[in-house]
Amino acid sequence: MAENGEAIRPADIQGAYRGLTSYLEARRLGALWKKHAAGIEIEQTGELAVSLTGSGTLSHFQDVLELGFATQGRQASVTVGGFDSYVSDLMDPESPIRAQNPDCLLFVVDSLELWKLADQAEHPDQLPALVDESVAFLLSLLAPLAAAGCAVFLTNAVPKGADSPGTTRRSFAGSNWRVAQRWNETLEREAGAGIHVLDVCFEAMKIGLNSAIDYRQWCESRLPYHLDFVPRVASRFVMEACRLASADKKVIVLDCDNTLWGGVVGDDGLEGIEVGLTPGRPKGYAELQRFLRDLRRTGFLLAVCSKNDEANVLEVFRSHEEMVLREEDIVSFKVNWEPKADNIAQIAEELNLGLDSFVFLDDNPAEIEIVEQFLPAVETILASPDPIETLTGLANNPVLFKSSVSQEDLEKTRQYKVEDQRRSLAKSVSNYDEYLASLEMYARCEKINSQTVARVSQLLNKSNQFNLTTIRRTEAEVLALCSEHTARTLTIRLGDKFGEHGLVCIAIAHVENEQMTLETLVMSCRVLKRDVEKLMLNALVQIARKEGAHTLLASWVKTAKNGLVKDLLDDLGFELTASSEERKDYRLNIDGFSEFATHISLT
Amino acid sequence: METIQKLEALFKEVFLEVPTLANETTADDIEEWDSLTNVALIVMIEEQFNIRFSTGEVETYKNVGDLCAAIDEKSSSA
Repeated sequence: MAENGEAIRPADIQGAYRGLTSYLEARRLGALWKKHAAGIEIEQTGELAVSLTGSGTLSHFQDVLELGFATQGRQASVTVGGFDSYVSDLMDPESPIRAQNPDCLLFVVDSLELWKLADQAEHPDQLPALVDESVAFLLSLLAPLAAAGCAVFLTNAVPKGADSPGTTRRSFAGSNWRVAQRWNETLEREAGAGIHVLDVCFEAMKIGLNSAIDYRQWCESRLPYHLDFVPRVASRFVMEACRLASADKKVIVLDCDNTLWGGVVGDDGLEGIEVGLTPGRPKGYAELQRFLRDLRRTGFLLAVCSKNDEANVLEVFRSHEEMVLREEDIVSFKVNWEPKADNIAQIAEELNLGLDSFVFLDDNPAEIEIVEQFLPAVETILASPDPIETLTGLANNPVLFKSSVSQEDLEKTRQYKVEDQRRSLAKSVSNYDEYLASLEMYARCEKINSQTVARVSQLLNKSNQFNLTTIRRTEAEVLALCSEHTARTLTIRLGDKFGEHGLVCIAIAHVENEQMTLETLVMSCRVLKRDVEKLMLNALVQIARKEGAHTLLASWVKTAKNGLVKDLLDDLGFELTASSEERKDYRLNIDGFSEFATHISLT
Repeated sequence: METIQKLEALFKEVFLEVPTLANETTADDIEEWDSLTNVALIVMIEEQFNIRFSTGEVETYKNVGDLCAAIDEKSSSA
C-alpha cells in the first residue's frame, strides 16, 4: 500500500483487511489506518454500536473489529463483555452490553469449552440431548436482543485438531468431534429470526484446524482461537454485519467471451471456445459456470449482456454440449452492440428490480468503468483471465453474501430428489448388472471431427492405463491420420442419468485387404466397468463388416502403466496369436462375432 | 543485532510506550504488558525467531533477561 503521496483506495484497505493472516498484520494495518484514515475517501455510513460477548478471552477482537468496521465506513464502538460472564452480560439490564443497546452483537463460543459438556454426561448417549439443551439455552439468552432489532451473530463450533484420527473420533458419541458436529447441526436448525450463524468452522477448515485453535494459548490464556485466526473471524463478522445493512443482490449480469468461457465465440466458433470437460482452462470455465448455476439455485437471477451477434451466443447456450449454464438458466439475454449500461438498465426495467440489486461481471476494464460511471448503483466485478481466480474471488466476495436463503430461493425439492434417487439406487440394486441398467447410460459413436480433435489428442496423450498400444499423437497428427483413406476412427461420448462424462473412448483402425487392424484403443478410466469397450468393439465390427473385412487384428503393447488392459483382448473374445513379455498379438474372426449386450443405449 | 534489541523492536509493535529494554526489565515496568498483550507478544516472538515455547513455559521467566536466554537457546538448537 502506498505510504506517501499516492492516495490509498478504499478497496485496497478493505481488501487488505479481508486478507489479514496474522494478528501482527492486523496491528500494522491498524497503525497504517490511523496514520492515513483522514486521506482515505470512504463513504461514511453512520455509527454502529457493536457488542462482543461469549466464552473465553475476547479482548483481542476489539481493535481488529473497530478497524474492520472503519474500513467499511462505519464508526464502530465495540463493547466487550466480561470474561466468561455472558449470562449476566445478556440478562442483566445494567450490564455494559445491555446498556449499550447494540446494533449488532457477536457471540463467540469457545469450542474447547464445549467439549466439557461430555463431563456432564453420565453416559455418552446423553450427550446429544445435552448439546441441544446448551444450544437452546444460548439462543434463549440471545433471543430478546434479536427481538429488539439487534443483529445477532453466533459462531459455530470448531472441532479440535488434536483428536484421534481413527474411528473413535467419529464413532464415540463423547468425542469433541461429535460434540462439535452436533452443536453445529442443532445451531443451524434452531437459530431463528435475527440470529445468524457465523460459520467460523468453515473458515477454520480453510486454514486448518490446528492453525485456527491453539491448544497452548487456550490452556494459558483461554483464547478461543489462535491469535492469528482472530482477524479472519473478525473480518467474516464485519462483512456479514455490513452486508445486513444493505439490500441483498439479486441479479448477476454476465459477459460471455473470456468471462463465461475462454476465447471469442465470434472468432473461434462454437467448437473453439474454452469450456467443458477437457482438463485445463475449459474445465476452469465449466467450474465457474457451475458456481454461477449454484448461485442461481440459491435465488440469484442470471442475465447475459454481451457484445456479440445474438445467434452466436445463443448457439453456445443451446448447442455447446459441455456448457454448464443453459439457456433456461438465464433470465434475460441482451446480446447486441449497444452500450452495456443501457442494456443493464433495460434488464432492471424488465425484471422490475432496482439497479442496486445488480452485480455486473466482465473481463473488460473499460466496460466495468462505463457501467460504474453511468450506473453507480450497480456493483461491478472484474473477471480475471484465470476462471478459477474469478470463481474464488466471487466465492469470497461479500457482495454475494445473502443474509438468509428463503425457502423459495432453494430448489430444495429438486436437490433432495437427486439425493434420494442416488440413495434408493444404492439400496435397490442387488447386482452389478442391475446397477448398470439403472444408470440409464447413453452414448454417441462418431468419427473424430473438428469439434473433438482437441479432446482426442489430449486423451491419446494422457491416458496411460486403459491404452492398448500407447501411440501418442498431436492434434495435427490426428487430423492427418483422419484424412488417410484406410483410416477408420471412432469416438464414444457417454452420459448417464447423473450427467455427462464427455468423450471417453477412442479407437483408431486401418482397413485394408479384407482385414481391419486396430492400432489404438484408449479409454478414460473414469468410465471403467461400464462396458464402453464392448460398445466400441460392436461399433468397430459393424464398420469392418460394412467394409468387407473378415478379421480384426489387435495387439497389447506393454508399458509401465497399462497392465490394466493386459488381458482385455482375451476378455473381449480375441484369439491370441503371438505372445512375448513385451507384447501380445490377437485376431478376431469377424464372421463368427456376435455383438455384446450392454446397458448403453445409442443416441 | 543483539536479541534484546530485536525484542525491543517487537515490543514497539505491541506496546505504545517502551523503555529501553534491559535484562532486568519486567512486566511491571511496562504499563500495557498484561496477560493479554503477553499472548500477542509471545506469538510475535515465535514468528520472528521461528521458535516455539511449550505450554506454561513463558510464565516461568521472571524478566526480559530470562526471555532472551530462552530465545537464544531455542534458536541455536533449531
